[in-house]
Amino acid sequence: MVPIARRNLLADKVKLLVAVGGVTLAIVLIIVVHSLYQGVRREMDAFIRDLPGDVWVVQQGTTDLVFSNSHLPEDAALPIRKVEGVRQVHSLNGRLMAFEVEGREVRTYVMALDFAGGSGIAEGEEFVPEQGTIILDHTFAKQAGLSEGDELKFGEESFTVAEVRGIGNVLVTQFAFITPEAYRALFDVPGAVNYFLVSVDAGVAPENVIEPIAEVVPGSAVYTTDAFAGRASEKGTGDFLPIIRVILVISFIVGLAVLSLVIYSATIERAREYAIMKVIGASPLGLYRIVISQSIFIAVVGFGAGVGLAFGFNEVAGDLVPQFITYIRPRDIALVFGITILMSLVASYLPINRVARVEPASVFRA
Amino acid sequence: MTTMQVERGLDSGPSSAETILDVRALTRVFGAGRAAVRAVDNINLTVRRGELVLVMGPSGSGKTTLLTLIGGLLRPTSGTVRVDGLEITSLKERQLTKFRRHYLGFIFQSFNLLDSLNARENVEVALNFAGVGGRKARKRATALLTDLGMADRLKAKPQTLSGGERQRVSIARALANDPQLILADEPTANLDSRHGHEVVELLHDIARQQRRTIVIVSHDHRIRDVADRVLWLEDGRFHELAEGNAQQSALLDTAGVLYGAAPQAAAAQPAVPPPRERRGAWFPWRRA
Repeated sequence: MVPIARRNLLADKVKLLVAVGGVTLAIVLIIVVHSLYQGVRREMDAFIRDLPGDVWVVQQGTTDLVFSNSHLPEDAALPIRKVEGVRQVHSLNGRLMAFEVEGREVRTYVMALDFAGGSGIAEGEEFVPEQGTIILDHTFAKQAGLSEGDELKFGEESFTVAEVRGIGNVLVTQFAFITPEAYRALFDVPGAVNYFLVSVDAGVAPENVIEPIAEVVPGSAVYTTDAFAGRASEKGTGDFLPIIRVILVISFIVGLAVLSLVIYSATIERAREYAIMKVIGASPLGLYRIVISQSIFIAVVGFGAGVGLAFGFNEVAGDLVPQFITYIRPRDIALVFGITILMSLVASYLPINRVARVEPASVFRA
Repeated sequence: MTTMQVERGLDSGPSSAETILDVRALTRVFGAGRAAVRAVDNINLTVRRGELVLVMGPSGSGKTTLLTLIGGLLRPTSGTVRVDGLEITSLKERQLTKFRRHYLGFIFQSFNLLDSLNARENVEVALNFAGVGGRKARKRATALLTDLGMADRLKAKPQTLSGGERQRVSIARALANDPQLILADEPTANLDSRHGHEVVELLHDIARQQRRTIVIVSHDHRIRDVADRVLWLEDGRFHELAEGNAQQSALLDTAGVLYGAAPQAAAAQPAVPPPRERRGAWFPWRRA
């Protein structure tokens, strides 16, 4: 079959380039914004999952680590430990903290993980540095210009950077760990901890200890790690989800507008040719297929270019702006592809109407 | 001015087996009330297989409207059009599309080629629309264009072709699906004398050698020489030449033209008139 759609498009390369460019930009914007959203979600989710424990005990009403506070009685660790199926209990404390680095103020969310009893070797050692040292998230370290061996000062206290690694980075908040002793010395609220992280015995489902723990810790809310990670991710990203959606809608509209305009003008320009094709026996469906093929061709090429550019953009932006954490999942690419196809179909609607109204007899006019 | 409708009394026309086009009481009115215009007014016409009929007449006489009605591109106000026994006036749009694909070939004044396609592809698309694709379509398009002296211009875009070449591509496209009836609207109007002559000869050959029926609407004198019949259309009706009519005389100044052929005369004609001696095989594109 003669590829009429492709020939028509390639006949005007400038217009084709403009159309593909418009769709590409829209796709880049959609993917980058969405990947930023997914990146934040993933970081929050990963941070919570990386910490030890199968169950999180938090104060009722607590949504996440960053945007809400949780205070639990420190002595609740003992009754939690006694719940059947519980193997270990850790306490976790944290707060946003400003440090001074070479005269500059830098902020990070400082946490301290402490073993609060139980059987077996304590988990989460990778989150407990040596006394007088601090483990930094690499994004924060890069942003603050810190590396291993550097010093951070907080009042009279100073911390040597013991390790820089990917701990957790949620847009404006990066996590760091100091020792429980140092944390107590700096911020101690007597008799209170922020969270308990509970590990269960092998073969015990985390869900099975939720109710018993909630009973022994009045005013608490108990979640499996999965559930709390989901809740925190939701909270961490939920507030800017509507903004993301607006940007996505705008991107979609921009792509759609460019595509529609190009396909429509191409159809108008070739109205006579559509009439000719009608005269020589093209079915309406065949003509609609030409219009849709043109639209899909532009959209798919724009999509391919857009995906490539989005990956490239994320790489460069991530290097230049450390907080710019993105994550592109295969299913997001599939979703954007679906959006692209939808865009091309919607963009074909008006041109198809125009083609339907083309009068074949008009070809007899010289 | 003495006028007379021609091609009346179709019952006395040629046998239906040989009839490719049968138009009865065909009328097309544009507008309504006082503004109504009868572009085609109660026309009857029978054309046989292999016949080349030329329809002449002044601008606005209804020639092109007649052609579009025969081609199923316009619905008549009343009357019927039968092509190869198929009454097309009652067909639905989808059926009309199929009808055009298989029964009709169109040749236009302004060629109406698809600019983005090359010569061969312009012919191929007509085959594609009729369900013939791939190599088969390409082979047939190539063969048709080669027969028309376009073998070395297969991949040329319409913009790079001369008027005569474009019209030959248009003719090849019209022949692609082996139609019984070819409708040509001023096929030589945009061509110079030489190319116009080529196209006229070509159309004559197609009618004679391939026994295709051709209805041509034209002002071109040269076509009279090859036409089996010349019909004069004025105010939507066929008319006989009136002596002293300057307009007609300007167009029809040569003896031997069968304008306003009476039905009896038409019936008396052989289904395929013998080739005229004076027309030798003048095919400049075949000389090489």
